[in-house]
Amino acid sequence: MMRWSGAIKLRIADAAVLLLVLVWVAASYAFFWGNGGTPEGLIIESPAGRQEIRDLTRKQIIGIAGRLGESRIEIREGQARFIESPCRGKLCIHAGWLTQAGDVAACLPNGIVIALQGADHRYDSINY
Amino acid sequence: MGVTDAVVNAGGEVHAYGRHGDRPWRIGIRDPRGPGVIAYVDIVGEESVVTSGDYEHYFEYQGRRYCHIIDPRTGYPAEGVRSVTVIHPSAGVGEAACKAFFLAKPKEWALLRQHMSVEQVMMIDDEGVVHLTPALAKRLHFVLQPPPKIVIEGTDPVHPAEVR
Repeated sequence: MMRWSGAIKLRIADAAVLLLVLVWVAASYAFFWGNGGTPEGLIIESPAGRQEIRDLTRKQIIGIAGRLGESRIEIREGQARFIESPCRGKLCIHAGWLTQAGDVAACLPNGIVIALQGADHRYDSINY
Repeated sequence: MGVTDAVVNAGGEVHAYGRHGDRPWRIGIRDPRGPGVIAYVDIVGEESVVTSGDYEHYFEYQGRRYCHIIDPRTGYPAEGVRSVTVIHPSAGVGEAACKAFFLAKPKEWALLRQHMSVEQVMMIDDEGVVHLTPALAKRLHFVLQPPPKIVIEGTDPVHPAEVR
């Protein structure tokens, strides 16, 4: 009787472990291969070439030399935006914060493009 | 310029040419209410994926969302739609069609499709229900979890697993 009861307890424990494993696998799947909108880096294209900034958590303002002069890009809390640019229309600044992987802003007169890169590499481009 | 394979992303509007090596270009379409992608489409050849939504340019006042698309019939921001995505060889036609479908009712789709020569349309309404034309339903792959409710034009609502 004791052994039978012990066997039942073992089965319940097994089921609990199995359930935990399944939940862990499902959560891992969602985290690593899910919709994946969290940016993991910022790509900056300029006449000088391409550079990547991996740490988007540290607040910083970067000056990038362009065709007309310097554009300033602010990075903080996983987001990035143009805050100054020597162009006329300032469309790059009006684009505001880039917050999602795949978001792009460009200052075409100054030849500078910034893009948030995602952890999810399943897509060649994101439409929004 | 001699470029045969490329993807141009102009502020979210995507135009693809050719293919990515030995596979198609894979274009994700953003979830209008979430951080990720709701669905993707594979493209070989020349096509544009164009979306108009109420989530990039809008403001909220007293719990109501006012988007940048104005309904010319009322003079007020359009309501009832989160986003419209159109796939078409021409980005210009796709952009114009997005706005037209954004303001149209589903029962007007058939006329609009015929009038604008647009066959591939996805509309996500304000309850998150995805409305698809049959032509787009055949090639769209949903990745959002949990899957949204889907209505294919001219049919009953279906589960995403049944779409393909």
